[in-house]
Amino acid sequence: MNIHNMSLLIGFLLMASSSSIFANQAKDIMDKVDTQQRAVADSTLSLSHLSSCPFAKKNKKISCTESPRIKLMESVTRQNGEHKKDSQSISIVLEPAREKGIGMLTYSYDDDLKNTESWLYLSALGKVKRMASGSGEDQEPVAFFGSEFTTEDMESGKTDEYDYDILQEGSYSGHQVWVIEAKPKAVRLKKTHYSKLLFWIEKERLVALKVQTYDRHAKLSKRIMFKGFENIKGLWLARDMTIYNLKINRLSRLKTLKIAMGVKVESDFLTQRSLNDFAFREETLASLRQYFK
Amino acid sequence: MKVMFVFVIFMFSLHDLLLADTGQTLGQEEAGSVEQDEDALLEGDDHLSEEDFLFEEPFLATDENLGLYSSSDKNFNDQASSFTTWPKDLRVSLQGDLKYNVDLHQTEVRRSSLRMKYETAMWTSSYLRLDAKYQYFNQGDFLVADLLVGTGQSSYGNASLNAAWFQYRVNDCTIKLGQQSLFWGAVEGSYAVDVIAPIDATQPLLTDFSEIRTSQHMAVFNCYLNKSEIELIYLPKPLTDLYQHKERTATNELEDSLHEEFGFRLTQHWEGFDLSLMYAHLYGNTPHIRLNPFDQESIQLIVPRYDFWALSAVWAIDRLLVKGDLAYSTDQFLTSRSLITDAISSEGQLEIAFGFEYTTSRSHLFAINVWQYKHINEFKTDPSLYARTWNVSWNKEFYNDTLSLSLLGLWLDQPKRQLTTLLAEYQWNDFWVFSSALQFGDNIQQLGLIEPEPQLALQVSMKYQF
Repeated sequence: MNIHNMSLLIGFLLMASSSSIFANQAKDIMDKVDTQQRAVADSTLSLSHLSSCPFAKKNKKISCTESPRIKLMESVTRQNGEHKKDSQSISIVLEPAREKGIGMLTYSYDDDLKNTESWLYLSALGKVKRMASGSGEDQEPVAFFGSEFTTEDMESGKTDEYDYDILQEGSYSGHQVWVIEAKPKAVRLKKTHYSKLLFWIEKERLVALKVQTYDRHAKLSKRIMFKGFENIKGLWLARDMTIYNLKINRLSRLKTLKIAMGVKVESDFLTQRSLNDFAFREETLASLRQYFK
Repeated sequence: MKVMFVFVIFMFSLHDLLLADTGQTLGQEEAGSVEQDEDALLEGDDHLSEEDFLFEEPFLATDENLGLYSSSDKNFNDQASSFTTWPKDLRVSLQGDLKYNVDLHQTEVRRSSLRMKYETAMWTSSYLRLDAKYQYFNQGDFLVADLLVGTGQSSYGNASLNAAWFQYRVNDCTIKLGQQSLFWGAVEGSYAVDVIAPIDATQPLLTDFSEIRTSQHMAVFNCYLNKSEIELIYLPKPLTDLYQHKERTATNELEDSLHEEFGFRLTQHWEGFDLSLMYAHLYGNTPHIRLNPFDQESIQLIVPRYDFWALSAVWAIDRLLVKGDLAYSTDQFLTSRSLITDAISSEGQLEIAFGFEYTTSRSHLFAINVWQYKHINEFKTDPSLYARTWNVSWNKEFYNDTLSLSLLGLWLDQPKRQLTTLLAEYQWNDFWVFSSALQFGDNIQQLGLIEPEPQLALQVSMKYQF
């Protein structure tokens, strides 16, 4: 092996190892982002405002072309299980009037072989109905309350299902960021609509400023913008998320109007009882609402 | 009609008043809230060079004050304890329904309704719900024009209370007192176990069986113990199936003669599986007609008094939901009508219902339910013979849940009846809902009254809710 070949080999090994270091670093960063995201959702009560509308560009501004559909929801979430990757949540629709009182209780598990369990309170019947949700293994993403957000856009704890890479570092919107590419592994490919995702992760706060998703033909499909960052109990969260579906020119905006983090959620609250025992539910929620920020 | 028109105007005014009271100005605040500076967003990737992901979009830099907090939410913290938030707890809907029978060239349903719902947790550990409806039946509605039941030919209005109950909680137990509906059993569209709430045959059946049930005065006591639930019920004055609002002398006499009903349900939840055991001492919901051979104008209605035992199970297996109801009722009448001079034969009846629901990965919901029943002594003569009812349905939401399409097929084999309904429901915005249903088949809700010919009918409804 001559000097030239030797230097080529060393160069190749250095490139490979630096690529691997970048991949490891990218995974570490995304794990930290995900851990913070799950901590925000642990023992949390929130009041959210979800608006959706078709949009158009006019005078360099984006605006709704129709009156937005508004949903106001109150949710309680709790993480549990090993590494706090299982989640339990209950969501109650407060507006619009047509859907007021609809409640949904969901238990989802990190283990793909375990079925997600969900129950729906049917206000017309006044009874709780168990739903068949399937397991994470065979679930295709579905729209979240009729918005452009899908269950895939909202989920956490799935960082092992992607390969990550840092594409670029630098200043973005006045913040130092990593631009990280996430490509789904084989286990993820069968249950995702995305061929890749790009994350703009702010270095200091470890939060996403922007996410772009690409469809199965590698074409940009959605852009999610995060705003209104706030530190509560040492955790950073974005209180304002807007998702733009660039294929159909429709957007959804999810605003966290009020949030109480790290509250004590009794285990019997996240049960079917809370869907039809209104006195119990309202009393518990009233005691949690005093921690709203 | 003038009265209804004035009422509609009044309700729209009330709507504006309520929105003003809560500070909710959807058109201004919400449309404005998503208006943002944007430059290259709609051009997809063109603005974003793969070499420079740090290109700073003007879009991101001007985002700080976009109406993060909704003005409609200003009283939310006090919602559980304040009387001043009553407008937020009130829901009002106005609805108009028209059903036209294409084969008979006549309307079958022609009515408008006003519904008001109010619910609040006004005191700690308590909850109140009121749900009242006023319906106006116009000329051409089958309830106005039905000569068979002897109703007059003039339009009329009818007020009803769907719910008026108060719930109070003490530790793990809750009591709910007042007018309410109660549904037992797991299989929709079968009345094997779902026998507490009588049927309201004055309402048209489209694809949702819950729309044709009535509420009653009752006390429901529930205790929740870990994964178990105990329910005790007591009905001081039970009601029977509702077929008409007028000429109810015989029905009123029957209902006046009834005494209390009571029962219990024990439910246990496991991962993916629920099991319930029920017992009740009840009256039948469907009256048996006693005819007087000497006076054809005179009829007497009676219902059986019986004991009811039932088992109900729901099992979720991936995307499949398997449901089963099994019930045994004592002292069921063998016929639906008899002469007043004859003795009525009765015996125990066994009922079984199975239901399967499958949700595809693309959220199509398919369901098939079968309900069959037979009197106990029929096992001896022909074990394979059952009276059977099938219903098959499909549902899917389209366009961000704004359009809902449903199909319901219903078959009865004793007597032979079939009905197919295709329902489309479109939510124009957060207030208006339009629906249309195409129905082909027999009138299932008027069993025994009319020998049916399959007929095609179209129903349209519009609903405004705030």
